[in-house]
Amino acid sequence: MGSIRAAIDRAAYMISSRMKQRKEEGHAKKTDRISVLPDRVIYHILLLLPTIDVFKMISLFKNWRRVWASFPLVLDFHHKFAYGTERHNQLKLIKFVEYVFLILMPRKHIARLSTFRLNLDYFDDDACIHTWLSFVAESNVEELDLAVSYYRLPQTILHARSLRVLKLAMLRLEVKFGSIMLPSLKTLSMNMVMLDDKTIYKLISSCPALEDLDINWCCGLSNLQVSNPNLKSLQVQHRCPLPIQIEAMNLESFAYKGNYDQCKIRFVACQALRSLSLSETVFAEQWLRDQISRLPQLKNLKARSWGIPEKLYH
Amino acid sequence: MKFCAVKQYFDDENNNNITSGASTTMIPLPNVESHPLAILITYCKKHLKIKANNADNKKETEKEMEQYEQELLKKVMPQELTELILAANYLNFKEALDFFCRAVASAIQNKSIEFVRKFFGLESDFELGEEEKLREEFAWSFEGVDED
Repeated sequence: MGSIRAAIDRAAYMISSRMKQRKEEGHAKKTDRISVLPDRVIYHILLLLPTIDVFKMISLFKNWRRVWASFPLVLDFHHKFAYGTERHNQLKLIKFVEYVFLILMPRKHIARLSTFRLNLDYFDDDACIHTWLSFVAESNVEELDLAVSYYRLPQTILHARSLRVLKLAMLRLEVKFGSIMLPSLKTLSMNMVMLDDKTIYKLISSCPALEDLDINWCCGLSNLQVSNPNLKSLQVQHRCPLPIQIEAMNLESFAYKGNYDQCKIRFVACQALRSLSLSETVFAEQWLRDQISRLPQLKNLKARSWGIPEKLYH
Repeated sequence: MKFCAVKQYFDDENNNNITSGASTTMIPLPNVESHPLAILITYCKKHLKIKANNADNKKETEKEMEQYEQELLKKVMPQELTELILAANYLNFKEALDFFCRAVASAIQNKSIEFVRKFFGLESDFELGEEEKLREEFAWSFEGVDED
Protein backbone atom coordinates (compact mmCIF):
# COMPACT_ATOMS: atom_id res chain seq x y z
CA MET A 1 0.00 0.00 0.00
CA GLY A 2 2.22 2.72 1.22
CA SER A 3 5.71 1.79 0.17
CA ILE A 4 5.72 2.68 -3.53
CA ARG A 5 3.59 5.73 -2.96
CA ALA A 6 5.82 6.85 -0.10
CA ALA A 7 8.90 6.38 -2.22
CA ILE A 8 7.40 8.45 -5.02
CA ASP A 9 6.43 11.13 -2.52
CA ARG A 10 9.93 11.20 -1.11
CA ALA A 11 11.42 11.44 -4.58
CA ALA A 12 9.05 14.25 -5.47
CA TYR A 13 10.01 16.12 -2.34
CA MET A 14 13.69 15.67 -3.07
CA ILE A 15 13.29 16.96 -6.60
CA SER A 16 11.14 19.93 -5.64
CA SER A 17 13.40 20.91 -2.78
CA ARG A 18 16.43 20.75 -5.09
CA MET A 19 14.61 22.93 -7.57
CA LYS A 20 13.64 25.32 -4.82
CA GLN A 21 17.24 25.47 -3.65
CA ARG A 22 18.41 26.37 -7.12
CA LYS A 23 15.70 28.99 -7.48
CA GLU A 24 16.66 30.52 -4.15
CA GLU A 25 20.29 30.55 -5.04
CA GLY A 26 19.35 32.50 -8.14
CA HIS A 27 17.55 35.19 -6.10
CA ALA A 28 19.40 37.29 -3.65
CA LYS A 29 16.24 38.34 -1.78
CA LYS A 30 14.63 36.92 1.34
CA THR A 31 12.95 33.53 1.40
CA ASP A 32 9.48 33.24 0.04
CA ARG A 33 8.07 31.34 2.97
CA ILE A 34 4.39 32.01 2.72
CA SER A 35 3.77 30.37 -0.64
CA VAL A 36 5.47 27.21 0.54
CA LEU A 37 2.88 26.49 3.23
CA PRO A 38 0.61 23.65 2.13
CA ASP A 39 -3.14 24.27 1.85
CA ARG A 40 -4.21 22.27 4.86
CA VAL A 41 -1.75 24.14 7.08
CA ILE A 42 -3.07 27.47 5.79
CA TYR A 43 -6.61 26.30 6.54
CA HIS A 44 -5.53 25.21 10.02
CA ILE A 45 -4.12 28.67 10.75
CA LEU A 46 -7.19 30.38 9.26
CA LEU A 47 -9.39 28.39 11.64
CA LEU A 48 -7.36 29.68 14.58
CA LEU A 49 -7.68 33.33 13.59
CA PRO A 50 -10.62 35.60 14.45
CA THR A 51 -12.68 36.44 11.36
CA ILE A 52 -11.27 39.94 11.22
CA ASP A 53 -7.73 38.63 10.86
CA VAL A 54 -8.87 36.02 8.37
CA PHE A 55 -9.98 38.77 6.05
CA LYS A 56 -6.75 40.61 6.53
CA MET A 57 -4.78 37.53 5.51
CA ILE A 58 -6.88 36.75 2.47
CA SER A 59 -6.56 40.29 1.22
CA LEU A 60 -2.79 39.98 1.37
CA PHE A 61 -1.94 36.62 -0.13
CA LYS A 62 -3.47 34.97 -3.18
CA ASN A 63 -3.10 31.38 -2.07
CA TRP A 64 -4.60 32.14 1.33
CA ARG A 65 -7.58 33.62 -0.50
CA ARG A 66 -7.79 30.51 -2.66
CA VAL A 67 -7.79 28.21 0.37
CA TRP A 68 -10.41 30.33 2.11
CA ALA A 69 -12.61 30.20 -0.97
CA SER A 70 -12.46 26.44 -1.32
CA PHE A 71 -12.70 25.10 2.23
CA PRO A 72 -15.84 25.11 4.45
CA LEU A 73 -16.47 28.61 5.72
CA VAL A 74 -16.27 29.46 9.41
CA LEU A 75 -17.60 32.89 10.37
CA ASP A 76 -16.94 34.13 13.84
CA PHE A 77 -18.28 37.53 14.82
CA HIS A 78 -17.95 39.00 18.23
CA HIS A 79 -18.12 42.53 19.41
CA LYS A 80 -18.07 44.13 22.79
CA PHE A 81 -20.12 47.23 23.03
CA ALA A 82 -20.00 49.67 25.85
CA TYR A 83 -23.39 50.53 27.15
CA GLY A 84 -24.55 54.08 26.54
CA THR A 85 -24.98 56.29 23.56
CA GLU A 86 -21.48 57.66 23.03
CA ARG A 87 -21.01 58.69 19.48
CA HIS A 88 -17.79 56.70 19.16
CA ASN A 89 -19.52 53.48 20.18
CA GLN A 90 -22.42 54.16 17.84
CA LEU A 91 -20.07 54.53 14.90
CA LYS A 92 -18.31 51.32 15.84
CA LEU A 93 -21.67 49.60 15.99
CA ILE A 94 -22.71 50.84 12.55
CA LYS A 95 -19.41 49.73 11.07
CA PHE A 96 -19.70 46.34 12.67
CA VAL A 97 -23.17 45.82 11.21
CA GLU A 98 -21.97 46.84 7.74
CA TYR A 99 -19.07 44.47 8.06
CA VAL A 100 -21.24 41.49 8.92
CA PHE A 101 -23.59 42.20 6.01
CA LEU A 102 -20.63 42.61 3.70
CA ILE A 103 -19.44 39.16 4.53
CA LEU A 104 -22.80 37.41 4.61
CA MET A 105 -24.38 38.90 1.51
CA PRO A 106 -22.42 37.22 -1.28
CA ARG A 107 -24.53 34.19 -2.00
CA LYS A 108 -21.60 32.07 -3.09
CA HIS A 109 -20.24 32.18 0.47
CA ILE A 110 -23.51 30.98 1.91
CA ALA A 111 -23.37 27.68 0.10
CA ARG A 112 -20.32 26.50 2.01
CA LEU A 113 -20.94 28.06 5.43
CA SER A 114 -20.16 25.39 7.98
CA THR A 115 -19.88 27.31 11.25
CA PHE A 116 -21.44 30.57 12.34
CA ARG A 117 -20.68 32.23 15.65
CA LEU A 118 -22.17 35.46 16.86
CA ASN A 119 -21.24 36.80 20.24
CA LEU A 120 -22.60 40.21 21.12
CA ASP A 121 -22.93 41.59 24.60
CA TYR A 122 -25.93 43.66 23.83
CA PHE A 123 -27.56 44.49 20.54
CA ASP A 124 -30.94 46.13 20.29
CA ASP A 125 -31.57 45.60 16.60
CA ASP A 126 -33.29 42.22 16.51
CA ALA A 127 -34.32 42.68 12.87
CA CYS A 128 -30.70 42.88 11.83
CA ILE A 129 -29.85 39.60 13.48
CA HIS A 130 -32.99 38.01 11.98
CA THR A 131 -31.67 38.91 8.53
CA TRP A 132 -28.24 37.49 9.23
CA LEU A 133 -29.74 34.29 10.60
CA SER A 134 -32.02 33.94 7.59
CA PHE A 135 -28.88 33.81 5.42
CA VAL A 136 -27.37 31.30 7.78
CA ALA A 137 -30.51 29.16 7.73
CA GLU A 138 -30.28 28.98 3.92
CA SER A 139 -26.80 27.56 4.11
CA ASN A 140 -25.65 24.10 5.09
CA VAL A 141 -24.53 25.36 8.45
CA GLU A 142 -23.39 22.60 10.79
CA GLU A 143 -22.49 24.55 13.87
CA LEU A 144 -24.30 27.57 15.22
CA ASP A 145 -23.12 29.47 18.24
CA LEU A 146 -25.25 32.42 19.35
CA ALA A 147 -24.75 34.59 22.40
CA VAL A 148 -26.81 37.76 22.23
CA SER A 149 -28.51 39.11 25.33
CA TYR A 150 -32.30 39.06 25.25
CA TYR A 151 -32.49 38.26 21.56
CA ARG A 152 -35.60 36.31 20.63
CA LEU A 153 -34.54 33.40 18.48
CA PRO A 154 -36.68 32.98 15.35
CA GLN A 155 -38.07 29.58 14.50
CA THR A 156 -36.34 29.38 11.11
CA ILE A 157 -33.22 28.19 12.88
CA LEU A 158 -35.20 25.39 14.46
CA HIS A 159 -35.73 23.86 11.02
CA ALA A 160 -32.12 23.75 9.92
CA ARG A 161 -31.70 20.22 8.62
CA SER A 162 -27.91 20.31 8.51
CA LEU A 163 -27.35 21.60 12.04
CA ARG A 164 -25.21 19.30 14.18
CA VAL A 165 -24.13 21.58 17.01
CA LEU A 166 -26.26 24.31 18.53
CA LYS A 167 -24.99 26.53 21.31
CA LEU A 168 -27.23 29.24 22.67
CA ALA A 169 -26.50 31.73 25.42
CA MET A 170 -28.44 34.54 27.04
CA LEU A 171 -31.18 34.67 24.48
CA ARG A 172 -34.92 34.02 24.56
CA LEU A 173 -36.59 31.03 23.08
CA GLU A 174 -40.29 30.39 22.83
CA VAL A 175 -42.08 27.84 20.72
CA LYS A 176 -45.81 27.97 21.36
CA PHE A 177 -47.18 26.67 18.08
CA GLY A 178 -45.44 25.10 15.15
CA SER A 179 -42.88 22.41 15.02
CA ILE A 180 -39.19 22.03 15.60
CA MET A 181 -37.21 19.82 13.26
CA LEU A 182 -33.51 19.28 13.88
CA PRO A 183 -32.84 15.81 12.51
CA SER A 184 -29.03 16.07 12.54
CA LEU A 185 -28.55 17.79 15.86
CA LYS A 186 -26.09 15.93 18.05
CA THR A 187 -25.02 18.54 20.57
CA LEU A 188 -27.23 21.12 22.23
CA SER A 189 -25.97 23.53 24.81
CA MET A 190 -28.01 26.26 26.48
CA ASN A 191 -26.49 28.73 28.90
CA MET A 192 -28.66 31.30 30.65
CA VAL A 193 -31.36 30.99 28.04
CA MET A 194 -34.88 32.16 28.87
CA LEU A 195 -37.39 29.51 27.98
CA ASP A 196 -40.35 27.73 29.51
CA ASP A 197 -41.03 24.07 30.27
CA LYS A 198 -43.12 23.46 27.17
CA THR A 199 -40.50 24.90 24.83
CA ILE A 200 -37.62 22.94 26.27
CA TYR A 201 -39.62 19.71 26.28
CA LYS A 202 -40.52 20.22 22.63
CA LEU A 203 -36.97 21.08 21.72
CA ILE A 204 -35.43 18.05 23.39
CA SER A 205 -38.03 15.68 21.98
CA SER A 206 -37.63 16.99 18.41
CA CYS A 207 -33.98 16.05 18.11
CA PRO A 208 -33.86 12.33 17.34
CA ALA A 209 -30.07 12.29 16.92
CA LEU A 210 -29.32 14.24 20.09
CA GLU A 211 -26.46 12.83 22.16
CA ASP A 212 -25.11 15.65 24.32
CA LEU A 213 -27.30 18.07 26.21
CA ASP A 214 -26.25 20.92 28.51
CA ILE A 215 -28.80 23.01 30.36
CA ASN A 216 -27.05 25.60 32.48
CA TRP A 217 -28.75 28.28 34.55
CA CYS A 218 -31.70 28.70 32.24
CA CYS A 219 -34.58 30.74 33.58
CA GLY A 220 -38.27 30.23 33.16
CA LEU A 221 -38.21 26.54 34.05
CA SER A 222 -40.41 25.15 36.79
CA ASN A 223 -40.38 21.46 35.91
CA LEU A 224 -37.76 20.03 33.60
CA GLN A 225 -38.68 16.90 31.66
CA VAL A 226 -35.92 15.37 29.62
CA SER A 227 -37.19 12.74 27.26
CA ASN A 228 -35.03 11.50 24.41
CA PRO A 229 -34.25 7.96 23.25
CA ASN A 230 -30.69 8.56 21.99
CA LEU A 231 -29.36 10.96 24.58
CA LYS A 232 -25.98 9.85 25.94
CA SER A 233 -24.81 12.67 28.16
CA LEU A 234 -26.74 15.24 30.18
CA GLN A 235 -25.57 18.12 32.30
CA VAL A 236 -27.85 20.41 34.30
CA GLN A 237 -26.82 23.35 36.45
CA HIS A 238 -29.48 25.43 38.11
CA ARG A 239 -29.80 28.25 40.60
CA CYS A 240 -32.85 27.09 42.50
CA PRO A 241 -34.42 23.72 43.32
CA LEU A 242 -35.74 22.31 40.06
CA PRO A 243 -37.85 19.16 39.71
CA ILE A 244 -36.26 17.10 36.97
CA GLN A 245 -37.57 13.91 35.35
CA ILE A 246 -35.23 12.02 33.12
CA GLU A 247 -36.48 9.44 30.68
CA ALA A 248 -33.53 8.49 28.48
CA MET A 249 -32.87 4.81 28.01
CA ASN A 250 -29.44 5.32 26.43
CA LEU A 251 -28.22 7.94 28.84
CA GLU A 252 -24.71 7.07 30.04
CA SER A 253 -23.65 10.09 32.01
CA PHE A 254 -25.52 12.67 34.08
CA ALA A 255 -24.13 15.56 36.08
CA TYR A 256 -26.15 17.94 38.21
CA LYS A 257 -25.01 20.98 40.09
CA GLY A 258 -27.43 22.89 42.27
CA ASN A 259 -27.12 25.97 44.38
CA TYR A 260 -26.75 24.31 47.78
CA ASP A 261 -30.45 23.50 47.68
CA GLN A 262 -32.79 20.59 47.42
CA CYS A 263 -32.26 17.90 44.84
CA LYS A 264 -35.50 16.99 43.08
CA ILE A 265 -34.39 14.56 40.46
CA ARG A 266 -36.28 11.50 39.36
CA PHE A 267 -34.85 8.86 37.06
CA VAL A 268 -37.82 7.44 35.23
CA ALA A 269 -36.02 5.17 32.77
CA CYS A 270 -32.23 5.36 32.74
CA GLN A 271 -31.13 1.78 32.71
CA ALA A 272 -27.92 2.55 30.82
CA LEU A 273 -26.60 5.19 33.20
CA ARG A 274 -22.95 4.55 34.07
CA SER A 275 -21.77 7.80 35.54
CA LEU A 276 -23.65 10.00 38.00
CA SER A 277 -22.48 13.19 39.63
CA LEU A 278 -24.48 15.29 42.07
CA SER A 279 -22.83 18.32 43.58
CA GLU A 280 -23.81 21.34 45.66
CA THR A 281 -27.23 19.90 46.32
CA VAL A 282 -29.06 18.39 49.27
CA PHE A 283 -30.59 14.91 49.33
CA ALA A 284 -31.43 12.17 51.79
CA GLU A 285 -29.33 9.03 51.90
CA GLN A 286 -32.38 6.88 51.40
CA TRP A 287 -33.27 8.79 48.28
CA LEU A 288 -29.82 8.15 46.84
CA ARG A 289 -30.05 4.43 47.63
CA ASP A 290 -33.44 4.27 45.94
CA GLN A 291 -32.06 5.92 42.82
CA ILE A 292 -29.01 3.67 42.69
CA SER A 293 -31.19 0.59 42.96
CA ARG A 294 -32.81 1.63 39.70
CA LEU A 295 -29.50 2.15 37.89
CA PRO A 296 -28.01 -1.30 37.28
CA GLN A 297 -25.13 -0.11 35.07
CA LEU A 298 -23.86 2.52 37.47
CA LYS A 299 -20.05 2.46 37.77
CA ASN A 300 -18.97 6.01 38.69
CA LEU A 301 -20.79 7.75 41.46
CA LYS A 302 -19.88 11.13 42.84
CA ALA A 303 -22.60 12.26 45.18
CA ARG A 304 -22.33 13.91 48.53
CA SER A 305 -25.23 15.73 50.04
CA TRP A 306 -24.52 19.30 50.97
CA GLY A 307 -25.94 19.19 54.44
CA ILE A 308 -28.88 17.32 55.87
CA PRO A 309 -32.26 17.76 54.24
CA GLU A 310 -34.89 19.44 56.38
CA LYS A 311 -37.55 16.94 55.59
CA LEU A 312 -37.47 13.58 53.88
CA TYR A 313 -38.92 13.42 50.42
CA HIS A 314 -39.05 10.83 47.68
CA MET B 1 6.03 7.06 17.26
CA LYS B 2 5.28 10.72 16.89
CA PHE B 3 7.06 11.39 13.63
CA CYS B 4 4.61 9.51 11.46
CA ALA B 5 6.62 9.96 8.28
CA VAL B 6 9.62 8.30 9.92
CA LYS B 7 7.43 5.51 11.26
CA GLN B 8 6.16 4.85 7.78
CA TYR B 9 9.73 4.62 6.57
CA PHE B 10 10.44 1.91 9.14
CA ASP B 11 7.25 0.07 8.25
CA ASP B 12 8.15 0.16 4.59
CA GLU B 13 11.63 -1.16 5.34
CA ASN B 14 10.16 -4.10 7.23
CA ASN B 15 7.83 -4.83 4.36
CA ASN B 16 10.73 -4.97 1.94
CA ASN B 17 12.60 -7.35 4.21
CA ILE B 18 15.66 -5.21 4.57
CA THR B 19 17.56 -6.43 7.56
CA SER B 20 18.47 -3.45 9.66
CA GLY B 21 20.94 -5.12 11.94
CA ALA B 22 22.62 -1.84 12.79
CA SER B 23 20.92 0.16 15.52
CA THR B 24 21.41 3.37 13.61
CA THR B 25 19.64 3.76 10.30
CA MET B 26 20.05 6.67 7.96
CA ILE B 27 16.66 8.07 7.05
CA PRO B 28 16.59 10.65 4.29
CA LEU B 29 14.62 13.73 5.27
CA PRO B 30 15.32 15.99 2.35
CA ASN B 31 12.71 18.54 3.19
CA VAL B 32 13.79 19.30 6.73
CA GLU B 33 16.64 21.58 7.76
CA SER B 34 18.75 20.45 10.68
CA HIS B 35 17.88 23.34 12.94
CA PRO B 36 14.08 22.93 12.98
CA LEU B 37 14.57 19.18 13.19
CA ALA B 38 16.63 19.58 16.35
CA ILE B 39 13.90 21.71 17.91
CA LEU B 40 11.23 19.20 16.93
CA ILE B 41 13.18 16.33 18.43
CA THR B 42 13.59 18.23 21.70
CA TYR B 43 9.87 19.05 21.67
CA CYS B 44 8.99 15.43 21.04
CA LYS B 45 11.23 14.11 23.80
CA LYS B 46 9.89 16.67 26.26
CA HIS B 47 6.32 15.82 25.30
CA LEU B 48 6.85 12.12 25.86
CA LYS B 49 8.69 12.75 29.13
CA ILE B 50 5.91 14.94 30.52
CA LYS B 51 3.32 12.43 29.41
CA ALA B 52 5.18 9.62 31.19
CA ASN B 53 5.57 11.67 34.36
CA ASN B 54 1.90 12.47 34.58
CA ALA B 55 0.50 9.18 33.39
CA ASP B 56 -2.95 9.51 34.91
CA ASN B 57 -3.37 13.20 35.25
CA LYS B 58 -4.26 14.67 31.89
CA LYS B 59 -4.66 18.18 33.26
CA GLU B 60 -1.18 18.17 34.75
CA THR B 61 0.23 17.04 31.41
CA GLU B 62 -1.49 19.90 29.64
CA LYS B 63 -0.34 22.43 32.19
CA GLU B 64 3.28 21.34 32.04
CA MET B 65 3.24 21.23 28.26
CA GLU B 66 1.84 24.76 28.19
CA GLN B 67 4.63 25.99 30.45
CA TYR B 68 7.24 24.30 28.28
CA GLU B 69 5.64 25.70 25.12
CA GLN B 70 5.66 29.25 26.53
CA GLU B 71 9.37 28.98 27.28
CA LEU B 72 10.11 27.47 23.90
CA LEU B 73 8.34 30.32 22.15
CA LYS B 74 10.62 32.82 23.85
CA LYS B 75 13.66 31.11 22.35
CA VAL B 76 12.30 30.67 18.85
CA MET B 77 12.51 33.53 16.38
CA PRO B 78 9.14 34.32 14.78
CA GLN B 79 10.63 33.84 11.34
CA GLU B 80 11.62 30.31 12.25
CA LEU B 81 8.01 29.39 12.96
CA THR B 82 7.16 28.86 9.30
CA GLU B 83 10.13 26.51 8.90
CA LEU B 84 9.08 24.63 12.01
CA ILE B 85 5.56 24.31 10.66
CA LEU B 86 6.85 22.94 7.37
CA ALA B 87 9.08 20.46 9.16
CA ALA B 88 6.32 19.32 11.50
CA ASN B 89 3.97 18.96 8.55
CA TYR B 90 6.44 16.93 6.50
CA LEU B 91 7.15 14.65 9.45
CA ASN B 92 3.44 14.39 10.14
CA PHE B 93 3.98 15.36 13.77
CA LYS B 94 0.47 16.42 14.71
CA GLU B 95 1.02 17.91 18.18
CA ALA B 96 3.96 20.07 17.11
CA LEU B 97 2.14 21.21 13.98
CA ASP B 98 -0.85 22.23 16.06
CA PHE B 99 1.35 24.08 18.54
CA PHE B 100 3.33 26.02 15.94
CA CYS B 101 0.19 26.95 14.00
CA ARG B 102 -1.30 28.31 17.21
CA ALA B 103 1.91 30.25 17.80
CA VAL B 104 1.74 31.79 14.33
CA ALA B 105 -1.95 32.62 14.71
CA SER B 106 -1.42 34.41 18.02
CA ALA B 107 1.64 36.19 16.61
CA ILE B 108 -0.24 37.71 13.69
CA GLN B 109 -3.56 38.32 15.45
CA ASN B 110 -4.68 41.91 15.46
CA LYS B 111 -1.49 43.18 13.87
CA SER B 112 -1.04 45.63 11.00
CA ILE B 113 -0.53 44.36 7.46
CA GLU B 114 3.04 45.65 7.38
CA PHE B 115 3.78 43.49 10.40
CA VAL B 116 2.22 40.44 8.78
CA ARG B 117 4.16 41.05 5.55
CA LYS B 118 7.42 41.34 7.48
CA PHE B 119 6.57 38.26 9.50
CA PHE B 120 6.15 36.05 6.48
CA GLY B 121 8.85 37.83 4.53
CA LEU B 122 6.72 38.42 1.49
CA GLU B 123 5.25 41.37 -0.30
CA SER B 124 1.57 41.06 -1.08
CA ASP B 125 1.14 39.18 -4.33
CA PHE B 126 -1.86 41.10 -5.57
CA GLU B 127 -1.35 43.77 -8.20
CA LEU B 128 -1.50 47.37 -7.07
CA GLY B 129 -5.03 48.14 -8.18
CA GLU B 130 -6.42 44.86 -6.83
CA GLU B 131 -4.85 45.42 -3.45
CA GLU B 132 -6.40 48.85 -3.07
CA LYS B 133 -9.81 47.45 -3.91
CA LEU B 134 -9.44 44.64 -1.40
CA ARG B 135 -8.23 47.02 1.27
CA GLU B 136 -11.35 49.10 0.82
CA GLU B 137 -13.53 46.04 0.90
CA PHE B 138 -12.05 44.87 4.17
CA ALA B 139 -11.21 48.24 5.68
CA TRP B 140 -12.86 47.25 8.93
CA SER B 141 -10.24 44.57 9.56
CA PHE B 142 -7.37 47.05 9.34
CA GLU B 143 -8.54 49.32 12.12
CA GLY B 144 -7.72 49.18 15.77
CA VAL B 145 -4.70 46.95 15.41
CA ASP B 146 -2.00 46.39 17.99
CA GLU B 147 1.37 48.10 17.93
CA ASP B 148 4.03 46.01 16.24
